[in-house]
Amino acid sequence: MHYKTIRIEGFEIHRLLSQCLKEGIGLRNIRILSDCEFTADVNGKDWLRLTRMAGSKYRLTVTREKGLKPLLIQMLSNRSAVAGVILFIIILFLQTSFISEIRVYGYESLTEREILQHLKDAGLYVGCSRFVDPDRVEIEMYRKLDILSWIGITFKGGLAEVTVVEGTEPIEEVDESQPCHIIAVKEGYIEKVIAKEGKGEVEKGDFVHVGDVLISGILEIEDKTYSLDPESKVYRYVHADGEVYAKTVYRFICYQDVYKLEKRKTGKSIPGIRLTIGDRTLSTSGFITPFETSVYEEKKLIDILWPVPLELAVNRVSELELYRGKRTGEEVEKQAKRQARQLIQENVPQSAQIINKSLKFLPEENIIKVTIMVEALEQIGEKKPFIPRDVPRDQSNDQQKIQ
Amino acid sequence: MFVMDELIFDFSVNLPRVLVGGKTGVLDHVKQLLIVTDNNIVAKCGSGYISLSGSDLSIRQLSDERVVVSGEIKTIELFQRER
Repeated sequence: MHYKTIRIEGFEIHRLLSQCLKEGIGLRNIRILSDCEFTADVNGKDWLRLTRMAGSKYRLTVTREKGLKPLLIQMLSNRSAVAGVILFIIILFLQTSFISEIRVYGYESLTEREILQHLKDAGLYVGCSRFVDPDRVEIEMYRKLDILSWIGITFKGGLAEVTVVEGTEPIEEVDESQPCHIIAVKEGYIEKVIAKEGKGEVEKGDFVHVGDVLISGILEIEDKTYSLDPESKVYRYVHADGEVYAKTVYRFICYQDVYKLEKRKTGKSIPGIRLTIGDRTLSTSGFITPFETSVYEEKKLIDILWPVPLELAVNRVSELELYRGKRTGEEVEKQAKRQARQLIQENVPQSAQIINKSLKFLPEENIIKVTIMVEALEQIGEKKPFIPRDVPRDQSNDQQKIQ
Repeated sequence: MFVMDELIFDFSVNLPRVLVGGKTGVLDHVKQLLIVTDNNIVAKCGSGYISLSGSDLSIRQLSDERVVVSGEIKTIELFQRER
């Protein structure tokens, strides 16, 4: 694949051509320029033999070289082209070395933001290395999210596709054939009883404690056909079913500061820069922090993912002066209401209906005690199976009598 | 062509053989080139000689006792060595 175009000058050129033919030196594209001059293409490997054969009788001049070898030599001699190729390879390598996008599929109750945050904690985020171990991330995700039934992570270049399947929390079902009561799981004042099966044991306005039977699965049979002993009773056991709504009361206590901590800039500040390439961050504020209390402000100048995830930002660390200021009643109330909303969200079931809410403020030394009372209407009944012999003593005795 | 003639044609390496089509001529069993110019090529092929005459003649390939000639071929002459 290596050819040299040569010009041969000398007398009796046909002798040289005949000799080439005899020695097996292949020549191509022979052009006769004159009686003592011609051009030809000779294979690179035959070149030495040809020069040896021509000796001093003929003058050989290489005019051009063709083929892979001269092409490579020519390319390598062009430094800027070599640098360009190397740069291109580096960019290509970097482009496929970082995660530039994460797509999440299959989420239902969880939000995409939540999943992305958990993925970030597990080590998978936009800008991280492409060579992150997906098995490790998956194990971490299973550990963090109990609701997760399955998670799959696949990489397509810089794109990470995360597919999640959420499971449901198993509800303990009571066997339909087994007798059961509906019992109270919370204490409260009964508002409504809907007994689909079984006998309602409570009425509107009754106060029930945790564990009280609301709908009983034991039904007394009143048989008047036979003249049995009026003292003996016959019972039938059913799988109680129904809903019981009660007014429940939630009481939360939280504390509010009388004073608030306010910040004021002193005017002293230090400018700096932050450079992040992939996972590596270099920030001047990390090692220059002369202030005891300071605030960090930043403005991004460059934020790119291609060809490399690169962030360049200028920042300013400003010194702060802290002082205490007294909060107004309105501020305390506003903050307490916000806290109350959060507590309700965390502790009261979503299915419960908030009927009433009240806040009571009790000032103490430097703090204000806030008592939050929430009245809610909610379903408090839960099935609890029982074995017929576990019926109350008087009832079991009666049953034994029947047997 | 009879079988014997074909065999002689294919396996006789000491006889001149020439094939011309269009602007290409193929000379086989070439042992030596005697004249090489842009209007005449004479080659010794064992027991005979081949002469191609024309204009703008050039040798496209020269290897393995074969010479591929391209150009305007006008005349083909065959000479036998005198015994």
